[in-house]
Amino acid sequence: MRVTTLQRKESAHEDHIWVAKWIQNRRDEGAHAKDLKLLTGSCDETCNFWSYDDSTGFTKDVQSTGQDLGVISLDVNSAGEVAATSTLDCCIRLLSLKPSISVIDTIKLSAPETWSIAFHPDPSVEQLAVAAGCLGGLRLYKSCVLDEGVKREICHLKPQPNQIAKHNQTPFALGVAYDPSGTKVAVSHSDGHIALYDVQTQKHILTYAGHSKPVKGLSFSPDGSFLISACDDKTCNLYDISSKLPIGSLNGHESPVLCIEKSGQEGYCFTGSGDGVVKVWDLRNRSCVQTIAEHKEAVWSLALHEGANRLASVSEDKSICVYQVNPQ
Amino acid sequence: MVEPMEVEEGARPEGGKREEEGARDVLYIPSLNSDLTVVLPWEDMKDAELVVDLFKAEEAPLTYWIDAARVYYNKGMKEQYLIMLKELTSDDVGEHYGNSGKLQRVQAFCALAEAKIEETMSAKTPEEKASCLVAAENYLTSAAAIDRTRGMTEHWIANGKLELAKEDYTRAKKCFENALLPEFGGEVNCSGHLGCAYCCFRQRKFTEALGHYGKILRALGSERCPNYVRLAMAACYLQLKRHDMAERCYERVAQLDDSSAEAKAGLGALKVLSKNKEDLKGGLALLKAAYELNPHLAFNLISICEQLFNRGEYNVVAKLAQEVIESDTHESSIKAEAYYYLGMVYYLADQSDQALMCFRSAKAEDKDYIFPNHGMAKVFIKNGNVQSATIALEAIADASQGDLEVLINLSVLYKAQGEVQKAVQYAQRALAIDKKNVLLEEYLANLLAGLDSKKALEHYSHVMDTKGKDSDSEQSSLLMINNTGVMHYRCGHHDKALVWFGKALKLAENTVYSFPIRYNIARSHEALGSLQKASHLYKQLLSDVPGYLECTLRLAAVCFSMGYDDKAIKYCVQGLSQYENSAECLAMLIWISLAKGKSKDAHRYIREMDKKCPNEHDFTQTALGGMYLQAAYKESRAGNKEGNQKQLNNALTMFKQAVTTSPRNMFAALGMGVCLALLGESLVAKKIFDKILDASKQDIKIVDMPEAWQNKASINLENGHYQDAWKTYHYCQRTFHLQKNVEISNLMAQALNAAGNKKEATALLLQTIHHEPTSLPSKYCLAVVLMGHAHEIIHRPETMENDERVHELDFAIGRLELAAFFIDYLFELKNNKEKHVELDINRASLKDLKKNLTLMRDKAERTRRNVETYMREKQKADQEYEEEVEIARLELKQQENEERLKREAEEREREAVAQRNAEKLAALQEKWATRPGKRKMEEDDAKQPGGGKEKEEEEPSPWSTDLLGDPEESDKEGGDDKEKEGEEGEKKEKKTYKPPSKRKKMTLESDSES
Repeated sequence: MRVTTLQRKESAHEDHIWVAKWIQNRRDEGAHAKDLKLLTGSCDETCNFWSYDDSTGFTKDVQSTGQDLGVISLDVNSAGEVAATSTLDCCIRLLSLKPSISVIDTIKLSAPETWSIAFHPDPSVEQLAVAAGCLGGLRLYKSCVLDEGVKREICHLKPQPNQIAKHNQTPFALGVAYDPSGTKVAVSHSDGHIALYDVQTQKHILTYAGHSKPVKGLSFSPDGSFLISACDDKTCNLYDISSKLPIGSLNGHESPVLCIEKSGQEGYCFTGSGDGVVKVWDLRNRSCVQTIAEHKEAVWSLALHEGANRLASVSEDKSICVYQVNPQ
Repeated sequence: MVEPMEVEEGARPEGGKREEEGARDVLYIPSLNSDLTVVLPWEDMKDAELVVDLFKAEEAPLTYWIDAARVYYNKGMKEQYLIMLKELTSDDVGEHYGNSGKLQRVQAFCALAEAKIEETMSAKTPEEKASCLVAAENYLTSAAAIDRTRGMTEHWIANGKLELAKEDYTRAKKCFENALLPEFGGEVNCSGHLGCAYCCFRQRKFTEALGHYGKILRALGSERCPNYVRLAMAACYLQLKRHDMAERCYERVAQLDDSSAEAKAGLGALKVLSKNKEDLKGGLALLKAAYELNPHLAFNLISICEQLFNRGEYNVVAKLAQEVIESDTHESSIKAEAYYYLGMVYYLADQSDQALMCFRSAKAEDKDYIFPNHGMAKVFIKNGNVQSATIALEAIADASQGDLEVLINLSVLYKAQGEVQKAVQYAQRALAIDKKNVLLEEYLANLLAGLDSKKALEHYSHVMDTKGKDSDSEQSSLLMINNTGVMHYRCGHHDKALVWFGKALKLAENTVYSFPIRYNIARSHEALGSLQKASHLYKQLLSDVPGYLECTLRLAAVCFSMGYDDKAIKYCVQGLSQYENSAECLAMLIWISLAKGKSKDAHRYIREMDKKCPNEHDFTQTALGGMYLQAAYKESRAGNKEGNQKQLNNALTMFKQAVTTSPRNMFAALGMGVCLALLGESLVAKKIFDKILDASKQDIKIVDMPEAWQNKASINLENGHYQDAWKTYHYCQRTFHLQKNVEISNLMAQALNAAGNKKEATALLLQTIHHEPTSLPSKYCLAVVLMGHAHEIIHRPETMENDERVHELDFAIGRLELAAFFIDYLFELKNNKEKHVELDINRASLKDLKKNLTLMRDKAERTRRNVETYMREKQKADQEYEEEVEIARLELKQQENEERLKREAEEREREAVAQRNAEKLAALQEKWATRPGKRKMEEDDAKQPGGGKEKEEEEPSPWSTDLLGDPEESDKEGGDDKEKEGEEGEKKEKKTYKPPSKRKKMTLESDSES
């Protein structure tokens, strides 16, 4: 697999860009690389909605302000209809994207109890998983429009007591990822442990060990058979879904790995790191097959448009880069 | 009575002829009152006194006396020569000859002086030499007394020789140069040139010396030039390293005089330098021939010494060197060489004292000769006196810029003394000379390994590239690969280090070298954060090498990092059981206890360390200081000021003791600075931090002290120098790669906030929290900055009362709400003991912050309300004003309508009048046309052609409509007037109309009023 740089948008935000997601309906196969939509969130307390075309690059459609203290995480449901943002003011904002952008609801939390968020892969389930920040573990929310008086929170799946006891402190939940079937959710923590929960039974399944520094990114393989972590220790571990110890690791980054994105093709993944480098990995050989150094500062987020084979990276250098993904 | 051999008529021959005659070895004696001159063979006149008597009897002119003296001199009859000269200089002769013999008498005095100077060469004691010099000086004074002009060549030459004897080459050269003035022979004065050349040679001005010799050569011509001039020229060329020219000189001398030992020795010495075997053989043959011709020729002997020394024939070398030393050679450099070789022979025979004496004598002979320093260094090294060896070599380090051996030896000596930086400097100088010396580069890389990993890495890489596959041995390449890994590790390239260690391990498999390499691999995994793997490798290694203390301690550290404190302590204790007095084990236990806040345990281990490791006093004192400092922070968090001060003072005492014990303990110094800063002595603290930073500049080992920069910046921040504080933090971040260091980022944000850059401060804190979400101090700082930003907006001096201001205030209120959110969160954490959060902020300050926040929020909301009230009232006033303006506008419109109607009525009336007038006129015209007299008048008019009409035209009819006026015109005029009136009227009305005055601008309630 090779990626080639297509477009670069400088000064896309006034400050560091922390997160990006393509707005796509994953059920529509064979999407074209024309008129793609990207959503970016930044430290400048705004979200930008972009139209993207390979030939013309990015055009800013709308700017959503009021994302107080900066957007840590955002996700768009797989129907491309609803988006959610998690901000440093400890709020989760649900936005309807169709027919026009409007706020569905704002979930205000009483403490830094949110970090990364992820929609259920099946849009009809209307569920949002949230890494519960200082509370540790996972929170599940309903993402639909609710009648008055209906509670939005589904549950809070707390971290295991032994994980708390280890450092005599609740670990901070950072990353979250649904498995492709939507039955399991993995949550990574600041102490390096990753917890796997069953969404149906709302129970803890397994704890993955192997890191001792914060794990900021998580991604399941397309078939859901294994999980990959992006850690501050500059490595990514590969876990068999049923085994708590890593089956391999990806070494090569010279700075903390800040984000990870699965590829459309089985056996590959993309990672971004603190030194502004994006790497393409061959998971079978555990080797880096390509290193792209388009950014001058840390790459905080990667987003893949599966239909159009376009990868976007956003960085502290305030720029967005789009690459064409060429499968083998 | 001596019989005359020959009698010639006339005067004795003059000038050159006389010299030729002299060469014929005869004496001339004139006869009194006659032109006859008796010519006698010198063998018959060996008694100078007899000749003097003859001269006196015949009253011979003094030139004859001088000639006679010259003959004696040439024949080596020094005594007779001196008798002749002394008679010449006697008072009787002076009185008798008066002015006519002045020149000869001066010459005689000068010759006597020169004879005395020559005597100094053979003087055995300094006193004897001094007395000779005094005598020579007296002769020259007497010569000067005869002729005050002192302008004689011989006089200058003699004076020059006197100065040479005194070894004052500058003054000597001056005298010889005076002898070269045009009036004394100028450029052809060979004695002057010889003297000058000799002085130049002694002053090491070889090119200038060559110039003088060249002039002699040109003056005398190639054939007549004495050999010693060419030999001297060869010596100059040798010094100038122009061996080809030296060789040509020697060859010419050999050509002119086949028996010249000097020429043969010179040629031989040059040929033995060649690497060509044939040349070497020929050179040795020439040296041998020279030796046979003159077995005492010092120059030759030294050349032979060198050859024999290289062959190891030390006994012969010693003999030859001794002979040179005892010879009467005036060439001090040759004697110096002889002393050197003799010294080397003594050195090899383990007779250090004699060797040193010889080397010192060599230096005394020729201070610029560098070999004796080498010899001395060798002796000192043999005796273990590294310092003296260093001094000996350092003295010639600058002189021998290109001498690789000196530079390498100095580097090695400094390394042996522990002065690695100097060792590196000399090794670098040596490598600059010999860039392809791989061994030297490897040595330099090893030196740099402890000082500058990056540079060391560069050299290791270069060495490995150069060596390539031709590495001399597997072991050396193994060490090199391992060292490359270590350098990568130290540079922070842990993954690269891992690769190199992996390579090294492959080479070292099943050897003892594999253990440290495995340890290095585990360390790399540990540094990469793969603690599980590191722990696994450490355990494996410990099972193979149970007593590996470093490994045990690292395993303890890894366990501690993974949260297994008990295991960490277990491994430390295990290490302590194996190595009872291990300071490292105890230090680790102290560190774990301090980190866990177990002061009692820490104290116990510190006491144990104090007892068991007496050489680690400063460490225990520093650890105790750290413990007290931690306690002080605890007291501060609890709000106990007294307790905080007490603990700070305790910590300060400990740190001071540690610094007294070991002044290079920078951690203790840093602790001292921190304590002083916390005790309010920020100026003293700043000085300490500055000193630490200076020390780190001087000693590369102390470079890793970012805390000193950080503390210095904090003091700047405390003293209100925000820009300086920010700059220092920024420098610290950049230099020590601490861009993501939460503590420094928080402090930088504080500096930015205090400097008024609220937005930048907020952004920096948001970035910090995003990077480190668990950082509570960042959240506290963010709350403070958000409050500061809100405060700035609320109290903005140039207030605008509009929507923008409302938005601004809304924003400020929003910021205050966010600040409140974080303060509440921190307060909750502080109060909730179950959450076990160690928050380094005391409750009182949080309370204060909360109180201020409430006040600010009230103020913001009040201000917003005021602005809104003002805006509402302003809007109302504006509305009223608009209404009044509308009413006035309608009134005006109505008035205008009325006027228009009036004007229209008037117009209609005027039109009616005009109509009536027209009708009247028509009636009158009809009447006029029908009256009787009219026809006659018409007939009269016909008689007068053209007259009637013109008249009619000239005199308008009284009924002309003109009289009535053009109604339109009249209308127009009237209209104009009316318009004017209207305008004026309007103007008047406009003047009189006063729209409702705009209300006075609303003022907001002042803060005090509110």
